[in-house]
Amino acid sequence: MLLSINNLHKSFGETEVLHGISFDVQSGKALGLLGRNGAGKTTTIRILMDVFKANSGTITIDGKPFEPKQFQIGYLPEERGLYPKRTVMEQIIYLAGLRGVGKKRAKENAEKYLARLGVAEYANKKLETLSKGNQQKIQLAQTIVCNPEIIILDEPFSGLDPVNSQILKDVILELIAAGRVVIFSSHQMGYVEEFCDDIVIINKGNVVIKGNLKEIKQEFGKNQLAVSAVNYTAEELARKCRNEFATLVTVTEEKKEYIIIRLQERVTKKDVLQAFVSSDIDIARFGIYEPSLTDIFVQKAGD
Amino acid sequence: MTQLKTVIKFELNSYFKNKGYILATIIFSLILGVGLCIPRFLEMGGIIDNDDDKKTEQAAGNPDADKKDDKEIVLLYDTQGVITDTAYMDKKYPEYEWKKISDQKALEDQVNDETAVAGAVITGPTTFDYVVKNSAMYDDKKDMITDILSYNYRYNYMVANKIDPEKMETVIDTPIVSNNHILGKDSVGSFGYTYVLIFVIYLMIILYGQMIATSVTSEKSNRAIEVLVTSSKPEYLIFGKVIAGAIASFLQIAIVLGVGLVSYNYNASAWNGLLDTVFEIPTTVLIVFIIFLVSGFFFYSFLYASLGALVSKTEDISKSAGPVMFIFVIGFMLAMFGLNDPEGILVRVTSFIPFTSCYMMLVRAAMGTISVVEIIISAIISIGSSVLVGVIGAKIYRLGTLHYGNPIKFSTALKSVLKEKQ
Repeated sequence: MLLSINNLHKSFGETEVLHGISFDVQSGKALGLLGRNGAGKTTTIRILMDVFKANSGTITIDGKPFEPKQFQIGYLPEERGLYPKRTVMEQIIYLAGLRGVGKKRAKENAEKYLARLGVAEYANKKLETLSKGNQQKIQLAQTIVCNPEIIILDEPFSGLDPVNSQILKDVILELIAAGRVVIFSSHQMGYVEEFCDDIVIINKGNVVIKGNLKEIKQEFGKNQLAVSAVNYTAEELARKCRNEFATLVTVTEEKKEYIIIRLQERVTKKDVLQAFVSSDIDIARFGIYEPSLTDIFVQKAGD
Repeated sequence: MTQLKTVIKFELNSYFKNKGYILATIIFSLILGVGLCIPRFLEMGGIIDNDDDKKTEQAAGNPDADKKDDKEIVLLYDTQGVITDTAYMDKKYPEYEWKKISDQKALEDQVNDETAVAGAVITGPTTFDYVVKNSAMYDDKKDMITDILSYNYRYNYMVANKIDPEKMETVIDTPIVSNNHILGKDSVGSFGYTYVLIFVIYLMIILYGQMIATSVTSEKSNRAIEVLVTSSKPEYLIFGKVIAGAIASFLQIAIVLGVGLVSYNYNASAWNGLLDTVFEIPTTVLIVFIIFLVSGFFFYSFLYASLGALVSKTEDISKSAGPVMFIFVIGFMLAMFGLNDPEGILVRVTSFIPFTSCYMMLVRAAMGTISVVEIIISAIISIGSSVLVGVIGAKIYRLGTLHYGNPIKFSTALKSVLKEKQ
């Protein structure tokens, strides 16, 4: 399945909050939907789930108009919450019922996923009696209880300890492997890098970058090198590069332990290496710079 | 529709598992059921006019019936010797012991130490000072003394003018017999059940309206709404809540009134028909009551649900729902006022306004005159308004439920849903 969001525009009153959002999500691959707070991620998700109507733009699935009612969609919202006074099983069955799943099947699925998430023993307990981490797992169980074809996970790891995070990670990987369409929204870039083949970064209602994460990283790291020296700090090395090797490289960023330099036109890595070797620089690190997703995010969505 | 059924079922379960709901149903049923059994076990002759008891008492010649020791004393200090026929007061007001005294201070002392319940210093044939320790809201003794003086004044006049007082009194006291032939409504007879039914409407709407508003706001405050609005249409969610609230409330009131009815029928002989006017409600009135209770309930419940969606914390509900509650209470007060004037223009006009028709149609149907056409027109207005408020309420609900933080003004939300295509 290929879910395509095409040129979505949305206004609230006189204010346009989405200015033509477009991206694709392929089943069996997770898409990282990234953006700062208020960038337009949740509005996009709500349009996708038919909570809001877009002013213009289309959503298609395999080229045909997307009708949310014809698909099972599992949504784990960032603003989490269920009924604290009701039992776990009762509310999972209720929410599955709202999505058209019969009581018997909902109960079977709930038992399966609660067991998979390690919280089967709490099925008949009131939600409020569970720890925050376990409540989070219940929330995930209700998201996937209807065996959704499309899964939208908004900050699924917030508030989880490393052990619970691992369980959740495994379940999400299983869902991806099972060929579901997974949209993963998070500010924890490590998880996005772990799960997502593709990313889209939204900033102020615009898509600022999208595509395959590896390709984006390569593109960002193109003609850039990460360099450090034994006898110079990063700051000293950066100063030296600016003063002595300006014809070869420009310093793009100073990290704590190393610097990032960009090759000038028609300069090769070999040229730079030779220049460094000829100088008094005792090279500790000299390699292709591969930016982290955080670097890309900050660069694209930062002020 | 399956989603609507699912919501109704879930919300109904919430009520049926709610300890407050269960306890309230049991407690109200017990109060009414047991309360109506009281005359079976306790003597309530002061309230219930039980002919059988009287006959039995008379037949037995109860020696204690006129026991002086049981009577309260009323003192009379007759400074002018006005009261010449002392037999009159003992005969007419035998429940009190009328005792003459010759000292004003002694009278005041005895009243003060509660040996006597009251006293009168008779200063002339038509004047007296009434003495009582604490003035009560209802005190019939002063009227009795006035009557005694009035009788003595007449008596003395007749003796002075050589008129036979006994004959004259017989003429004066000749009873006039009248029979009522009511062609329209008997307001006296219908007052009891109308009063009770107005209270039933008031309590049901105000209690359940608040509960529905709280239920909506709770889903916002616990963020369950985030999943709900993405799983179901807001129309189903709000209609489901209101319908479930209606079923739960009607069931509760049916149980409570049912227990009351069974208990009253079981104890009917002990009550001697005293509450027949409350329980014997004419079918037409009952039908009007049900139609307007249901439409009024839905009308206000949709309003409450919308208002609940505009706030994020349950403690803000009273602020948000205040204006609607104010209108509702005004309607209740108008209905109470309307009981005394069911044909008045105010009652007629307000019986067609959806905010007040639930009360006023009942008042008119039970105590005034009303045509079937008027009932139908008002019912159409009321049901139509409820549907309209429900549809607009669902839009406000969707708008409000995804808005957190400061409460949204109802007028702002209304403008938004009318103007904006969400």
